[in-house]
Amino acid sequence: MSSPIVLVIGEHRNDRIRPASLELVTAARELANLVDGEFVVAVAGSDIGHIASEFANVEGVDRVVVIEHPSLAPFLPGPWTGAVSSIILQIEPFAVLIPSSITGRDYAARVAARLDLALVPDALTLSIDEGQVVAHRAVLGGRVQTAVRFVASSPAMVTVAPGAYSRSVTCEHAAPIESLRIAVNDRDTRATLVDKTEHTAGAKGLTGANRIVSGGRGLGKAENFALVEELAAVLDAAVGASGATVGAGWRAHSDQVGSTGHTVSPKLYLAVGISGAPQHLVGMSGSDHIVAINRDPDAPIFKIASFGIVGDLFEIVPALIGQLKSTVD
Amino acid sequence: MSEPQRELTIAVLIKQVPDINAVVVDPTSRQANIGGGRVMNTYDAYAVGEALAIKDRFGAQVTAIAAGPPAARDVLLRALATGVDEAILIDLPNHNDIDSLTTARILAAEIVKHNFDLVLAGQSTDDCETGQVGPQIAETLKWPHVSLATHVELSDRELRVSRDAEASKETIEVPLPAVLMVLSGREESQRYPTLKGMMAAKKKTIPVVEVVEPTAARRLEWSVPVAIEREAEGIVVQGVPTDEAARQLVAWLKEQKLI
Repeated sequence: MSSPIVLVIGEHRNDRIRPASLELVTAARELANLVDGEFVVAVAGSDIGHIASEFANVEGVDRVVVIEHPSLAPFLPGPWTGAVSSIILQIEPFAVLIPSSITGRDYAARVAARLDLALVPDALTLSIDEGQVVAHRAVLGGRVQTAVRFVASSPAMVTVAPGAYSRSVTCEHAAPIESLRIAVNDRDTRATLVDKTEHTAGAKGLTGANRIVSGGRGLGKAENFALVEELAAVLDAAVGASGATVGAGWRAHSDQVGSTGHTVSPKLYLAVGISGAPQHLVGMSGSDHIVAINRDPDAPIFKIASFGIVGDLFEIVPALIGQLKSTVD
Repeated sequence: MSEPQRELTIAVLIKQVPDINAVVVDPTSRQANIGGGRVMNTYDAYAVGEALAIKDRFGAQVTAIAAGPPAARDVLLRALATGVDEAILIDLPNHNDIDSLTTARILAAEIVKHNFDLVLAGQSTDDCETGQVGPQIAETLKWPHVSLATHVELSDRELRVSRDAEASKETIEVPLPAVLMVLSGREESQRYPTLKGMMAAKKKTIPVVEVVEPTAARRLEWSVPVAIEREAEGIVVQGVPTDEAARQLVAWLKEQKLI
């Protein structure tokens, strides 16, 4: 019998491997080692030969398969469901790891339904127990974790939470690359992307940022986000937002940190006027250092903050900006 | 813009969830105490709002569907009180013991019976946060889905859906029937029950649909969730002058080599 295969669906955007996919390489390599298995990265899209070569040079990758089809770019969940289902049926893996990004989650659920598989989203750790895959994930807004065991569903299919594993690095060794063919069914191509506007180019990306300053409902209104932006500029930090402010239309969804936005783990996360609803905490509790400024001493954010200031953000933030400026100068 | 040939029929899917803001972790057992409060899932409330907005602008018959224990009737009553036309309860007392795909298939079977044109669901649930049931219903029905929907236009049985993706705003065109997962929490899509609505809702009959509990072997097993919460061990500055608080934070940032 051939060795079990751990399959990762590699993600790329704007012609680059997305950092979260390098975290999946680490997760998959560890899992493959536990079952003495092979680790294969599948790269799907249109005109992506160079992405496949990049993946072939990542440490831990045994083999790369490339699936090119014009319907796979720009991303729509239908064609990707067909493509990823076809990859799984051809590779016959023991486990499938998909990035828990907005796109990854969009097709993973459909693939699971198509192939009659259980899917565990946002896995934080993966292990093997008595030959079965066990995935840990957070529930109830990240307050508690449960271990989910694949007792009767093979391959084990998971999406992996960003920041759960460290990134793999490039190496000298180049893994072999091969092509897979897929057919795309008409019923998977009924949705059409007719317009796409990229959010503010030049804004610092949240994922991968070392420092993030985020604003919450405590700011009172959209215009007051200027305070958060000014503080972020002084700290050379990216700007994030709580779900409440995005829901209120103050900020774009691309700024959202939390369960329906980005999961981030910067060195410094500074929360301004964020009370710390569980949906927000789940997206940032993995940060190395958390600073909170809030007027409510009982706000849940203080439970996880390494440094908290209880007080009026409209007084504290300007004072902080002033002192930081004089420190930097 | 031409009118649709017949009145649009919309199903909006609602889950009753624990009020997660009221969840308390027991310090001894490390387990979550969910408390008694049960509420309508946050994003499902937005889906109800969007369904009613579509009804207002294009005309539609809106049916709310919940799968859960008898108490889930409360969220259906709330939906009726905000203007939903009909409600159906699928009797599924142990709904949290089955996986998302099984739930999706049970809901899809009910949707098929009524010949709905459009299914709206929330982007995710507050408690389990899988976000899987919507796409899996779509897949089961062989319909397209659009996630993260913020606005919907309808013309000639073709939807034009605005969607807030990770790094872009997108417009997706998709023919009916389709499943939309609603993200938008904008104030204008929120609906609140009125007293008059509550009175009317109480007069409506909510049919209860019995389903055969799934007998197939479980695909997954869950352990009892336990807390991973970091204990409060950080510095908290309170009741000191603003400049002093700021000074202490700057000093701490330097000490931690963060600036």
